[in-house]
Amino acid sequence: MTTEEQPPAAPTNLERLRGHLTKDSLAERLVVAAMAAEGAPLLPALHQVIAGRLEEIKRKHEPVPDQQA
Amino acid sequence: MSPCRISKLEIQGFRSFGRDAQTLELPSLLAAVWGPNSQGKTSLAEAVEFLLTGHIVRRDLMASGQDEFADALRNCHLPAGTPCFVQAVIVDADGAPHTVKRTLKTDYGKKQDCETILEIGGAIVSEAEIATLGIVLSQPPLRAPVLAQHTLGYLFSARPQDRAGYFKALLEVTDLDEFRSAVAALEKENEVVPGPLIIKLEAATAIPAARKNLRPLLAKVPGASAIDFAFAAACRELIESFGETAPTDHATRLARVEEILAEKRARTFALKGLIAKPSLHGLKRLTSSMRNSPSTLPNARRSMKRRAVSPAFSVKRSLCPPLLVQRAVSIAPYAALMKA
Repeated sequence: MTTEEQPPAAPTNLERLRGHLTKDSLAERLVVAAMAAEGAPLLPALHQVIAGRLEEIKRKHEPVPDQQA
Repeated sequence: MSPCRISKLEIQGFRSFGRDAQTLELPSLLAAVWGPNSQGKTSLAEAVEFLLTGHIVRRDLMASGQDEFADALRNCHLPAGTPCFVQAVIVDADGAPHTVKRTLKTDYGKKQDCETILEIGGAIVSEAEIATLGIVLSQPPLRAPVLAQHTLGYLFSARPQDRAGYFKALLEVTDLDEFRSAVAALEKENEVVPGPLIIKLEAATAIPAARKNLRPLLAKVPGASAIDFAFAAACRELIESFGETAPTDHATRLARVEEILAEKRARTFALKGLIAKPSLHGLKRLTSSMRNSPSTLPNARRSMKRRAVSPAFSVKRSLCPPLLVQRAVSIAPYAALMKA
């Protein structure tokens, strides 16, 4: 079998999982972080994603406007 | 990145393999080995198992295995001094080849385990080193990702979690399992204990007329406009559930809900012995909030009075939608009502 005939590298499990998730969703971001971790401990990488998401939510909802009737 | 794989196998003197090392090239991810009976297919599968774990599980699974497998790994026709080994070239996830070799030092005895020497790249290493190549072994007894005919029976009778663990290792999805565990740990760490106002909101979703509009507020963090909209809609449906037409203006609608509730409360009689006492802390808190919003003071006084005399009020109170969302604390005119 020549090099040209080599089948393309099979996607990893996390790549396959990512394919099922909504783009830019929290779940997708977690999977991307796990893929980027590449053997490093997963939790710190995932923590970073969660912290970013929480910050994003806070920014979106602060300050709460005082809706005086 | 692709999963690690065996690209070449070399076996000598193991089970049915003879004195001359037999080599098997495995150029692609999928390989099929075909042969008539007694040609060494099972020996080949067991050679892979032996290479990865230093054992063959058939001995552990069969009742008569210990006797039957005494001196069974080394081919009995192998001349003395000829080594019995299984060697493989394993290509790791990054595409780097590693030569892994396991040599039999002492064969199985009737009551004795076998002893082996594991080498990676020519250096003697510990069993744990096999994991550095990306090979994930399962829990004993089925440690190696080798599914042979004799292991099927065991799998059917194994505990569900053992069976699941075995197939995860066999199908190389342990990374997904690890990811799931990490996400579960995150969930646990970030678990939010609902505050009293959220608990009230949850209780309010039990009211059929309000459920449809208020439940979405629990599903995700709502914006101020979403809260307003949900309460306005909930008020409208509450009013309509009493057979009235809801006013279009939200403030009027809110006032009408209050009136309806006041009418309902007026019809509720306190039961003797169940009279709730006003809490000093609650009174202070309410007074403080009333100071900030004096326009609601008359209502609040009435509320406190009712609270003091009617045990049913605590139930009826949950009918009032503005009491329910934490976010509304900062949104007048809900503030006083939320804190009451």
